[in-house]
Amino acid sequence: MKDYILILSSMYDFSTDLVVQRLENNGDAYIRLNKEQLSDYEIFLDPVNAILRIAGEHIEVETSKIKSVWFRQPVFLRNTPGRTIDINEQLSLSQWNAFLRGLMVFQDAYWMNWPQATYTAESKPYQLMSAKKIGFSVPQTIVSNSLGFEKLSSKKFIIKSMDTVLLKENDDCYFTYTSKANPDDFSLERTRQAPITFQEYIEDKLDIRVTVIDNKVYAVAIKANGCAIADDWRMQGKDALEYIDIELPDNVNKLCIDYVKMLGLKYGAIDLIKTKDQYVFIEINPTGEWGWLSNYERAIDYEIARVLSEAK
Amino acid sequence: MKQEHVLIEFATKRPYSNTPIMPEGAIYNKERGYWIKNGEPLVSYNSEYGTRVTKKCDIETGEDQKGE
Repeated sequence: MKDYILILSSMYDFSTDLVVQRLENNGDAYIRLNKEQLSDYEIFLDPVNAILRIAGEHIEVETSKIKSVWFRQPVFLRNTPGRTIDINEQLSLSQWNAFLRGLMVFQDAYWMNWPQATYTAESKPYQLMSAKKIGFSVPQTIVSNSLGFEKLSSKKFIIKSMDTVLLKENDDCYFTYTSKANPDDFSLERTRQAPITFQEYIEDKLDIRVTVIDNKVYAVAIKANGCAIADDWRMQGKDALEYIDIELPDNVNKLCIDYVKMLGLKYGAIDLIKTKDQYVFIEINPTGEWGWLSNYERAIDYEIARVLSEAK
Repeated sequence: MKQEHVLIEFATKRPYSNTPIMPEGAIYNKERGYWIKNGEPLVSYNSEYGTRVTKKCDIETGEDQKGE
């Protein structure tokens, strides 16, 4: 009986395509389930005996032999929707979401990442506390629905959300990047409704994305037109961005690997800032994007496919 | 006049659609588990869109796969 690799994703998660092509070329047995297409199949799960059966136009599989699961954390409803969703859609969203979590019955498989570890690692306050504990430098941070910047030692500060802000209103959406802010931007009336993360602003910063896959580390500095970027680099025109391979000092490299392990993750995308000779931890994304960094020399898709394939 | 929360004041507003606008002719192949265009993978190092097909198709939903 074949050992399967199970991929839980979205059909619009384009980076997944790269890994799937690698698996196909390797001759691996894989099943990609996309959240948008779950209802296209007839799916049966025997949770007690950990048996999954999937039947559909191109697939007929019944197996208890799942050697690895790539949990791309397809979330079904991020924020309160800006549109009416009928009871059928509400039902579908909530129940499929729970079903995917239920696949944890395949607990003996290699998970990238185990859902519980993903959910824990997504908490920004928890990330910072644990990063400090393991030995990273971290920025002074206050989370508050008041004038949190008053508690910071630094006069200059940034604000960011506790979780991704993606709000929908009619045909528009609101997305909030990390932003430099001034005390004049704030009043209690403009903060009380929701907590905000206030963080000291780090001068002369160089953004570094560290992608960790088990013990493998890809460290990339992000610049625009040859220069470090003062603000949130995602606000830059994408064509101006450059991704430059760098080598981290051994101790920082080890910290990144150890930190991902400590969080119970197999994969993590860590954002660091280099300022002068110091590396400062900013955050980790347990399902962070990586497709934009992958290329022939930095084949992150190869490494992900390799560990999924070689899992026992 | 009611003041918006700071995180909304600082937000970037843009048109939104629930699904990305895909390149013409791109089809998701369920059997193989990836997008195809003109018989070739849509997302690959040497495809028309490269690995950064998301430059053409993505909706910014954060640095994770949590978009709805």
